[in-house]
Order: sequence, then structure tokens, then C-alpha cells
Amino acid sequence: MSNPFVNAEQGADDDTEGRRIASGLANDDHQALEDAYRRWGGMIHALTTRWADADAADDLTQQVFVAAWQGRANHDPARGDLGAWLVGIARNLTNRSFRGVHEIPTDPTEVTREVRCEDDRADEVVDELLLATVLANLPDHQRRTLELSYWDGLTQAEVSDRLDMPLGTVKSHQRRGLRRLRRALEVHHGRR
Amino acid sequence: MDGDDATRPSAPRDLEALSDADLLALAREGAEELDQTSWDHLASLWDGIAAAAFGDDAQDRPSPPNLVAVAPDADPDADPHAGPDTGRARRARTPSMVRSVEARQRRTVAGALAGIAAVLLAVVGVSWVVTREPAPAPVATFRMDPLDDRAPSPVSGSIVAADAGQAVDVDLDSLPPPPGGSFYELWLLDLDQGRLVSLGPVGPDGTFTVPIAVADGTWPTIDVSIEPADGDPAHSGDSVLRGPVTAAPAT
Repeated sequence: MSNPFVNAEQGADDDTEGRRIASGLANDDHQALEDAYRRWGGMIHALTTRWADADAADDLTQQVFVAAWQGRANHDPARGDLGAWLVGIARNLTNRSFRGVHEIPTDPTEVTREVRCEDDRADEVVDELLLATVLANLPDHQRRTLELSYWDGLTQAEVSDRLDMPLGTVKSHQRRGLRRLRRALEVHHGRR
Repeated sequence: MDGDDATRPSAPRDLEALSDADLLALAREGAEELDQTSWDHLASLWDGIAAAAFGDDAQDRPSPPNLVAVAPDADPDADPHAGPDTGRARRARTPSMVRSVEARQRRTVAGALAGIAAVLLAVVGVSWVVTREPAPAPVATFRMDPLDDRAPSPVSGSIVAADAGQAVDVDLDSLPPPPGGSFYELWLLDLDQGRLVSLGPVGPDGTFTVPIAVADGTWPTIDVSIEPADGDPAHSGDSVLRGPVTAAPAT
């Protein structure tokens, strides 16, 4: 509730912070890579931890972001899917490093449809991690109202009481937050 | 891939079939997975990434922060090619790994503030001399842009030297009344360093004092948040206006 740094995009329905990071990357902005790591590093690490042992997961996580920097020209910032693109890089690197799949991309940032991870639950896990990351980066009011309703089982009226917030405001925060979550999944699945 | 786990939605390829509750259930699974990561550990990986990615640009690392007045901007929209040091674009620092877990945030912010306090105590004697200059002059200007539709228009203002540090002069009348049980608060932020300082609740008169110790630091960003009246002095994370602070040209 107290950190202004997680929620730089405050309140917008669209992920303006994600777009800012993506366009910074396209403009060779070092800070953009750091911002991307801050935002998606946990997700990538959680993913690579599923696919590899701890040391290898650390290495892979670093490789993903180094490859993202080196291959930044391959990402179109207008797509609004930097998180999903990073996941694609992780998949490619993982295939190369650990699975011996013969469709090895020469450039890990060339994210294609063909290269798939063989972990049956991988897609599901990616969705979970993407959604958790989007949720964590929602403006606080959107995140809190959703967590209280869906995780803690409070009704909207109870959330309204708890947060001392008008019921209509609770509803609109939830609506915006849900739109962002759904949109993130659509963008992610749209690219595959 | 055939539904071996019938108790929750399988890989959601049919997005329309996913209910809102499904979305939040998936997010919860992911959050639990994310919580298993040590954020300190993650932060420790950053230097390796920066070294490998930016290795050739080591000479671009910034010089130590300037202790005079308010720093030039950290405008995310600034052209990274505009000049030799456009701030954020060239900095390669360990990210202050912060998460949305509230306790962690409080600890991070409290820790950051404690750190600032220690440093500022050390320089306060110097800043007293510097800021006792008699003639008030604008040292910086800023323009805050709305972060969403709760703020109707951008707001500009200036920071001037004052007897007790500096004063921020800004007219926030364009903001609508805050939602019930909340108020607006003005902040100086340094997002790169994970530092922030409150200039206080937004009142009717539009002038805010920047304490001497704080005025001496570099504050790239100014921000207006909505704070619930819950007694928690920390930033709510819910901002309505934000913008870069730009040092006034030397006169």
C-alpha cells in the first residue's frame, strides 16, 4: 500500500508503464532494461526455476535480460507485450540449454511459434505468472479491491467498508483492474 | 496436456471462458510462485546483467550525484541521445527490488528514509550556509501530467529558494475534491534511488516548504498522491499527477 515505485502507471486502463519501458528499450535506454528487470525479473526467474536447477535458473535469468538487450531491435514496442516477449526468450534459451530441441533459434530473441517448451504445465504457469505480475503492478486501489474480493472472499460492499471507499469506486477499480488482467492474457495469447 | 487437474481451469486458451474469478485464481497461483523468490537474491543478479549488457559503455556511468539545488530531470520521455548525461538513460544501478507485498514495501521505504536521514544529517550544516542566501530565486520548475482521468489537466509550478530551505509553489486547484476519507499529498521522489519525501497534505494555499535538509538533495520527480486518512504516513502508491523536476537555467 505504501510503495509508489511499483505502480508508475497509476490508474491507466492501459499499461502505459509497460509501453514506456518497451519504447525505452527500443531507444537504447539502459534504464529501460533495469525497469524491465525490476518488473519481470521475478516472473522470469520463477519460470526458469521450474525448468532448471537453482544455479542454472540464475544464469538463465541473466541471459534472458542480456539477450533482450542485445536483441532489443527485434521487439516492436507498439505490441505491448514485452513480458510475453521475455517469456519467449526464456523458452528459447531453455530449449537450447536444457532440452536439446533441434529447432534451436540462432537468435533467442527471434520468438517464434514453433519453439515450445515441453513442460506440459508451462503455458499455464506462464499465464499464472503473467497475471500475478500484472496484478502486482496494478495501481494499489485496483489491486487491493480485487484481492479482497477474490482472494479474501469479501463482497464489494464489505470491500467498500473495509477500505472506506464508496461502493461505486470499488466497482470501478475492480472493473479497470480486471480489464488489465484480461487484456494482458489476450495480448500474450494473441502473439502465439 | 489433457486436463489432469480438473479442479481449476486448464491452460486458458479459450479466454472468453475464463471468469473474472478464474483470472484472480490464476494470479494467486502465480503470486504464490513469485513469493518463493528472494528479492534480495534477484537484485544481486542485476550487476551481472548490466555488466554483460552494457559492458562496452562503462565510461557512461554517472558521476556522483550533484549536491547543489535540484537535479536536472529524469524525464522518461527525454531523448536519450540529447546530451552527454540525460540522467536515467545512462545509469546502471542495482535496482531497488521492490514488491507489492505491503510489509516489504514499508520496510523498503522506511529503510530508504532512514538512510536519507543519516546522509542528510551529515550535510545539513553545509546546506544551512548555502540556503541562507537572501535573494529568493527559482531553482527549478516542473510540470506534472495526469496519470489517469482523476486529474483533469497538467499542473506546472516552480521551486524557489526560501529562508528555511526551499518552497514549492504550485496551484492544485484544478484537482477535484478527493474521494471521501482521503486527501491529496505532495511528494518529491527519486525513483532511481527509491527515495521519497512528503511535502505534506495539499491545502488551500498552494505553497509547500521543502525542509533545508531535503532541499539539498536531488529530486528528479514531483508527485501528487491520494492518501487514505488511515494514519499511515507512507505513500499510498496511488498517484494522480507526476512529472520531472527541471533545474532552472543558471542566472
